[in-house]
Amino acid sequence: MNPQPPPRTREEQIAYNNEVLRQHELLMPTVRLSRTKRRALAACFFLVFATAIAIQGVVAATTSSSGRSAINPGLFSFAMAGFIAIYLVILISVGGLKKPNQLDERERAIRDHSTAVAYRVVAVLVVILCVVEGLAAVNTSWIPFPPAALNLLPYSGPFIWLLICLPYVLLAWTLPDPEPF
Amino acid sequence: MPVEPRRIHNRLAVLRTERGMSRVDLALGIGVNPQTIGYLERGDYSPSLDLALRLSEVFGLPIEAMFSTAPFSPLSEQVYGTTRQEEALR
Repeated sequence: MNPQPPPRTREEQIAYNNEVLRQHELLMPTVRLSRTKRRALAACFFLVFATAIAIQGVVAATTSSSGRSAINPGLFSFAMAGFIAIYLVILISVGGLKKPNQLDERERAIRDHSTAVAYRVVAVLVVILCVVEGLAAVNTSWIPFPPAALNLLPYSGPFIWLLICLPYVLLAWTLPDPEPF
Repeated sequence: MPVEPRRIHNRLAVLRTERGMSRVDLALGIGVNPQTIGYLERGDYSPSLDLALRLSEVFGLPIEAMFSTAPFSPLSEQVYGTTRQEEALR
């Protein structure tokens, strides 16, 4: 179905073609995963993220105490590659590769909402980490791991990653099954 | 004082079916993702005024013929002017 009446002048023709192309880009193929599969991927994402944080804690603790990291860089790179692969599948399945001008108003609204939720979640996590670090600075006897693992700086990378990825992971978790056309 | 948003009822599914349009046809006509048509038809998403006006242009109907805050009565009731209860009493 044509979006507008047939054009007459060349300028109208160009504008008409651009509009039709823009609208057809809305239908570009994507990975149509069911909600269950997307949730499984999101769970994997959080599992890998938690593992990365734990590894980071071990690296911070062992590096400061012995001056040499106990973590195998190859293993860490492999985990990061898996993490990025999971994130890319999630990103494609929720239409995260579309530019903002390719989204309709409903898609923009849900993307904005999930971004706002993700920012709040990350802000709360950072505040909790700051509070724990502050308390640990006063008294380290109650924490079961070396105080060096609470240094905030090594976690900045994973948290920036989380801030970037979380909106799309939340979308993968919350969006319903794709509908047939 | 903020008020609770009201549920918006619509006739989009009936109108689209009447005109023999697929969801993709309607989506291309109003410039949205075909998935969004399902959300609109079920009332899970209320369109902006801009989108409602585009729907109005595609169907050639005023907005109030497509959207209402009160539920639309069934088509049979409108055509025959009777309710199911009245039918049963006959």
